[in-house]
Formats: sequence, structure tokens, C-alpha cells
Amino acid sequence: MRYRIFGNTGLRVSTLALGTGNFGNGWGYGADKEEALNIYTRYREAGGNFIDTADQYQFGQSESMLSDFIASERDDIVLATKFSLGDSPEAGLQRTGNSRKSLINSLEASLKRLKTDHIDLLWVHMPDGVTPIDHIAKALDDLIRSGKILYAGLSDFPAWRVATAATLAELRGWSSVSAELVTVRRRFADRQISQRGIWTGTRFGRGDT
Amino acid sequence: MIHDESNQIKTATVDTVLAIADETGHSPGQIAIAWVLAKGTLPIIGPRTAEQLADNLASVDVQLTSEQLSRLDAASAITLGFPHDIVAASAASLGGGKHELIDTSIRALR
Repeated sequence: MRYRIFGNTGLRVSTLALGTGNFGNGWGYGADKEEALNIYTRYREAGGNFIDTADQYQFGQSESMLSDFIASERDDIVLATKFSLGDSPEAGLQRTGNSRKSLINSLEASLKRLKTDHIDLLWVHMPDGVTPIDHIAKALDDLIRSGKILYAGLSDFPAWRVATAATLAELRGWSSVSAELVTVRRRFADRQISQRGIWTGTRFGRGDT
Repeated sequence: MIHDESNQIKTATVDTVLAIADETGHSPGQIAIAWVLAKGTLPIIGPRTAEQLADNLASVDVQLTSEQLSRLDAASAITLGFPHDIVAASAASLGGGKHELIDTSIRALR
């Protein structure tokens, strides 16, 4: 496994990130803990160091499983999680969406499940269509200043909103959003081939992520 | 599932991935991941089994040729629409008739 610099952060991450949306069975399908640990261990043995989860993945089970896997090597991995979609079907109004309150509620719950005191990269999972990007960018900057997250990213946002966030951050002296993520999962199942999902970051401004 | 084959571009893209997989002996998933890697972006794989992980990990050794990448790019190309279409059609005027002689920056413009 080779390593790349993540955007313009200087952070060294493996060429392939491990998405853990399949860790758990909260969605009615996925890998049990034994298989998930097997996947995690083999990924680490191959040199992988970039673990991607979300509070929503398997309704919290992905984060909970990962907490045991990463406990002995927390500082060696780059840990990414996301907020906005809720960690359960009953998440309600204050633990979904992009508001600062949802952000704080969700982040604190993720920290507890992951048994860590900071998230390396926090993604806004999807735009909620109502929270202005300057509110989102400022809230993320506040969390970076507090040390609870180290980097922030926007997932599945329109490019112009990512550009606005980056521009505001530059002008106002905020920590910039470091990354953009675009979901491009393609399904081959209908073509007699097992389903494969890939997620990618796309190019923005100063960094390829 | 996040994307299905809901339009002709997606179907053509999958067809091209499958064709290159067949030609090279790699799995379609490996072709897709290698394509993303060739763009300089970071793929996040999402295996459900150790077998899928092993298949995904092997994609870092898949080297697609420029011809294969061109086919994938062409099959998946979307129409950008306004203003990109009118700007592209105006390239000669914007370049003073010498636009094909200008080495443009590979960096993103503000």
C-alpha cells in the first residue's frame, strides 16, 4: 500500500480508505463482528490507515464495533466519521440535519461510541437544504479550534457550496474544509457480478481528496 | 444501493468497465477502483466480506492504459450544459485563433 497526502493538510493516508458501512447488521444486512474484525485486520496488515465510518452506518453499530478494533492503535489510524443522517430511525429533529445543535449532539454520541476524545476527519454527510454554508463552516471551525475534530469535509454537497465554504474560511481566517466527498457507488449486481461500492473524493482547489 | 442503471450513460459506463475487466482479467470492481485512483482521488472501499476486501486491495496494482482510461472517460462523459458548451464553442475566438498553441495550467481556476 502506498500513501498520499490528504488534500492540502499534510496528513498521510493510505491510497485506499476502508469504508465501514457494512460493519454491523442494523440495516438488516452487513458483516457480523467477527467478519468485520477480519476485514479491519487484513486492511491494516495491507498497510491501510484511513478508516471511514458514520454515525448512521448500521445505526451506530459500525462506530461501536470500530471502537474495539481501534482501541490499541488509535493514534496510528486516521479516523473519519459523519453526521446529519442520524444514528437511528428515531434520531428525531435534533440529531439529524446540518444545524450546530445536530452537529454537537451527533459528534458527542459518536465520540462515546468510538471511545475516543477526538475525530480526525468529520464529514457533513449530506446537505439538509436549509442550514446556510457559513453556519456550517463556522461550526466546523469552532470544533477544530476546540480540538474535538482535526479536519472537516463536505460530503455530497454541490460544488458551489464547497467553494463558498472554502472562500469564506480563507477570508475569515477559519480552518478550511479539507475535503470533498462524492458518492459514486455503482451496482454490478444486475449484471451477474457482486455488488461493489466505491466512494471517492473529487478535486477541489488546492487539494485532491 | 445509491446508483442504478437508470440512464444510458450509466449503462454504457458499466458496459465499458465490464469489457475492460474481461480484457484484462481483473474484476470489474478493481477496474472501477483503479479508474478512480488514476484520477488522483482517494477511493473509499466498502467490503462486506474478507474476500471482497482482498479483491479491492488488489486494485492498487491494476495499471489501466491511457486508451482504457479514455474509453472509460468517454463512456461516462456527461453533458455539462451552459455555460460550458458555449465557452467550448468559443475557444478559437477566446484564444485569438491560437488556442491550440496555448499550454493551459493544470491547476484549478478560482
